[in-house]
Amino acid sequence: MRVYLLFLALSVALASVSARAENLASLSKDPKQWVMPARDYASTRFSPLDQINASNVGKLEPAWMFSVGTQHGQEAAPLIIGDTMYVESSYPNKVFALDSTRGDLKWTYIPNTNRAAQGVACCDVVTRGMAYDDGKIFLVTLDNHAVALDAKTGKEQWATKTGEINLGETTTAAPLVVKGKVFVGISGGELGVRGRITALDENTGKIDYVAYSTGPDKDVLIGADFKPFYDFMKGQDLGVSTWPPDAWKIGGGTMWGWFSYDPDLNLIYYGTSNPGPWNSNQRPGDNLWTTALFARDPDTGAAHWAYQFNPHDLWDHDEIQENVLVDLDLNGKTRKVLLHPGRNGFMYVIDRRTGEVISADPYDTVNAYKGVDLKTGRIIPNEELKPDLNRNVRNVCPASPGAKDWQPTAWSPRTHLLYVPHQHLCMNYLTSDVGYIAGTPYVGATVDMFAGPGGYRGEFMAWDPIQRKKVWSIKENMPVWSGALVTAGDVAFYGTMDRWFKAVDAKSGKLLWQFHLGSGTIGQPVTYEGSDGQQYVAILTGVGGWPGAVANAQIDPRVRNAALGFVGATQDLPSYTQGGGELVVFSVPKQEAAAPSAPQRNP
Amino acid sequence: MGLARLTILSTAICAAFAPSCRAAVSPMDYLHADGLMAKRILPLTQGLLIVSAAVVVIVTGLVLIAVMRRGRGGAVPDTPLLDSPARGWISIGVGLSTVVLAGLVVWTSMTMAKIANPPSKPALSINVRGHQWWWEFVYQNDDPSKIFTTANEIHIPVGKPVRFTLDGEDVIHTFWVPSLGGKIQLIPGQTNVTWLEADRPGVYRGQCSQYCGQQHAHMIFSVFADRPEAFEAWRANQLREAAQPTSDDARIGEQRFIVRCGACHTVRGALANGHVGPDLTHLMSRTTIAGGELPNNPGFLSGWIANPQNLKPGSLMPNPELSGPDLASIQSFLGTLR
Amino acid sequence: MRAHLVASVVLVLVVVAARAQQTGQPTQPEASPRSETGVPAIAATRGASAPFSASADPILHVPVSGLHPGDVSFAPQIANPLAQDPQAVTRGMQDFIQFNCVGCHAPNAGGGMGPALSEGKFIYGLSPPNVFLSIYQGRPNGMPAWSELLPESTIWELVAYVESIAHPPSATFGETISRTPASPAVEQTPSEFLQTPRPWSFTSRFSNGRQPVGE
Repeated sequence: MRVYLLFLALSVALASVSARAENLASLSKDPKQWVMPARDYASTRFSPLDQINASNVGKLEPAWMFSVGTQHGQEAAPLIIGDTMYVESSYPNKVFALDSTRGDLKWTYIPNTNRAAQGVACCDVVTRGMAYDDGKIFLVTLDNHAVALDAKTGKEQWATKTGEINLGETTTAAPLVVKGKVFVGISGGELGVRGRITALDENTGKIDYVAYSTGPDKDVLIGADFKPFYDFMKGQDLGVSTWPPDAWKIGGGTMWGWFSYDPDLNLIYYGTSNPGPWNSNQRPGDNLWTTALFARDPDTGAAHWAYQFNPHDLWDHDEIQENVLVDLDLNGKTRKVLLHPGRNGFMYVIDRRTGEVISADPYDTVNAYKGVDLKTGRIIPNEELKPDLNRNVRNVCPASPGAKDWQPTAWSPRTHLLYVPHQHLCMNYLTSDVGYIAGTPYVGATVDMFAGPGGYRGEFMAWDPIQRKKVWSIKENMPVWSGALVTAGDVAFYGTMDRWFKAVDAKSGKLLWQFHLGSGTIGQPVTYEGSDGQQYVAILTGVGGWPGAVANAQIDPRVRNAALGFVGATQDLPSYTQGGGELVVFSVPKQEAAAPSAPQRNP
Repeated sequence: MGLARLTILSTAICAAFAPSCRAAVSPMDYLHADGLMAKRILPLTQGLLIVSAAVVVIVTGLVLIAVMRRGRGGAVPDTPLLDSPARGWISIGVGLSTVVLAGLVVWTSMTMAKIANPPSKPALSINVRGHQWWWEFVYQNDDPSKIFTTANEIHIPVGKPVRFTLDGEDVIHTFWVPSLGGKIQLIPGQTNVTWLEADRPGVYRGQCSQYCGQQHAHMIFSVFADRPEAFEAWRANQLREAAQPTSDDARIGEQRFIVRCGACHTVRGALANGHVGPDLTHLMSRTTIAGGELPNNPGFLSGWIANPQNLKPGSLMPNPELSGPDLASIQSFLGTLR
Repeated sequence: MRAHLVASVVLVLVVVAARAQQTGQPTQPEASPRSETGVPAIAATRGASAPFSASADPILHVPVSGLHPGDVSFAPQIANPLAQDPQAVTRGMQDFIQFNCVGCHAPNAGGGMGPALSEGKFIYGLSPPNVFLSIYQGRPNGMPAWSELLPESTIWELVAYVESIAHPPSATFGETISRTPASPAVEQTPSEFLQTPRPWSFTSRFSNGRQPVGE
């Protein structure tokens, strides 16, 4: 009897867990909602909605707006669950629940985020969004608190501290919920933070496990299941032996980007940041497991495979970018792959079962590397551009933010194209010796960025991963730092730092519509259907982030090396925009005269 | 009294015959070679010394002769110099000097060629970084997890060549271990390379030999030549991080050290990773402090920390303004850094 | 000879006893003027009878706010003790680099994680004691407190450096930002080409995000 009850309880528990996972995965298929920042576990950012399409997008106009009340970089993707939209602001990370059709404010949650955390955030006090599961909204605050809120009422369920600002740690990555666990990252690759991901129980907020990016195998959760494809990652405790003694403890490898999840293979995928310090001369060795892609079992965190993009990274080429999970027809077979736009300038197609690199092709100007050796799996650095200590290396491409930074791409299963918002920058780079003082930057490099060849600083392009080439491209004056969105209406959306929100034809790249926003945008566009059956497109404006802080903070545009060298490339941004913080929601007006929305009634 | 005289006499005899004694008594003696490079240079040194001495003697003698001849009352002839009998002397002088100098150039070049490269593949490579006024040594290794940093005191294996790469961090310094080899400069912006090999175990003194500022005279380092087992033991110890302090005093001292000293100094194992001053992870394994100027004992250590400007004015270590209890607990902690 | 022996033994014993006295007593954090939390303890020394007083040190009279009730300025004139030292600015530049100020404030203090100091705009006051206290005490929105890590002489060197590299973008009351006419019109020679304690002596045309013109 006891055994039977136990079995019953177990199967109920399992069923509820898998039901939950199915719930979120199946919710993510609903075209009307947008339940996670990447739209779905595969990170396609593709919407099946086609009410707005190439023929009518030219009529798009603002339906309503909402100010988030803060004016630093707004990077978060709004979430739409049912008929409620959830928006998160930059520091102090306020969360707003709004009626997604009319924009009425339902509730506001204001966390007690430590203001001193602003002093250890490398690249503006941003957040990249929230997560949702089972009636709860999950957010991370700049001062390293993972918080769960009741999605209906906004009431705080739990708040767990996962990092310490006095060690230079902040949290900016959007969390993701997989099988009842909330996955959060940590930021601070520029402050000698020891990178890791933390999995918390979504109901209690207790920490289930932590998977580090450096250190001994027991901390990195590398065990019997670990089978890397390439030889240079095989061995014991490589997270220690590929560093000078103790350097891995302050070695970076943080996770401030994107998680993806494959329910069939039961693997979560994410990449790690640059090693610390930027001055590579202080850390000889491959510096595992920084700039690496991990495939882990979400239940235990055990690593199944890993691939290090940039062993002994020289240029701050983090690899935290999104991994888009697609099944591609390659050489007559369908293969389960992931697309990873590397910061190093190469577009990777990687087998997501094994970690084998199928192809790696440059998608922007690259001279820092000669190519990727597909036999050994190692990238080939350009030896002439070696940043020896105190040597000013000039004209290195791509610059430190890479050919593309965190701003996410979108994949259309209709056009089979990847839509890539990115920058086009080169730099001068001078390394110098740096000491580590906990809670302060640990960089050791003087950087000066500028527009790449051709004089333009950004681009929005469509990439064919099977043909391995650019299909069309739109050059922009400023780095394109917003995310991309593509829909079944064959329209792709992106925004620029000089205040333009644009819709282009997904097949040809022809500009169909643009709108002058209140501030430059570095947000992530989303689309959903309101309770009135209308399709809406929403984006946060508010320029900032690493490239834009010169426009929203007191930074001197006359000093090129400011903001870790980005001011050299965006020093004229204040002449285009200021900071801001507004959500703008667009729709195509109905044919018939629409009745004006009634003002919000006071109960 | 008799004891003192006996001590002096025995030391002098010892110094004359036993190298280890000599090193202790006259550490900067470059007329005796304890290393392979010095041995190769020594004949040239002695040769130049003899030639110079001979030149002095001959020229002085000739000058004296000339002076005394003039005294005998002969009038100085009015003829141009090259037509006079002096021509012979001049020709001899110029000819002899040219031959001797040319010979010395050849000999010097041959010696420089002999010392340019070590006799066999170096067993070890050490990167030397010269700071005002202390020495930083980074032991290189192909395996990055075996690279470590120390300061002002190095150990090398006896009988094996050791390669040194030399970097100046602020101004030009010169690396010189008189009993082991010649001088070579550390120039900012350029990496020079040299090598040394010690013949027998012992301690050899090195000193900066290029004026580099106020405390140039106190920029000293020691080279310990060890037998293989001793060297390996020393190296293994240097690779270890500092042990966790066990006493309360040392634990408090570690916290105070991190705050008051960690911005400039590194102790691997504690959260102190400053790069301004020397690495102190194994401070107690060293025989000197303050750039080799002071012996490493508790008295001098607390005096140095409490008031570095008093003992080495102009040094880049500022007066830390520590209270008595702070200093005591920090010293407690430092005492655990073996 | 025997007398010498006895004397040295006694000396040794005295020294050992003294050290035992010193190490035997555990250090009381509360009794130390600089406690573990870095906050000066009230009743600073054992046996002190003087009560704690904020006005004890003149530098604590320096206001951070621009508002003085009563409309009479009472700021004491405290000069940088290193004002007459010609090397202080250069040493301050080295400190600025070595203690990671460049990490947040950028080379030549152009700003980044922390605000620019090169524009001469100081949120917490621009007088030498104001800048000293900002470094010494830290500031709420992200400036760490350096009082325990850096001796005062080092902080004054930083004050000398920071005050010397400040160069307001405009001589007028306010600042205009435009592309035509170009305002700002000049930029500094970047630090990867030239590291100097006088960066405003080396400027070139504003390059609008393109490769730097000057070298």
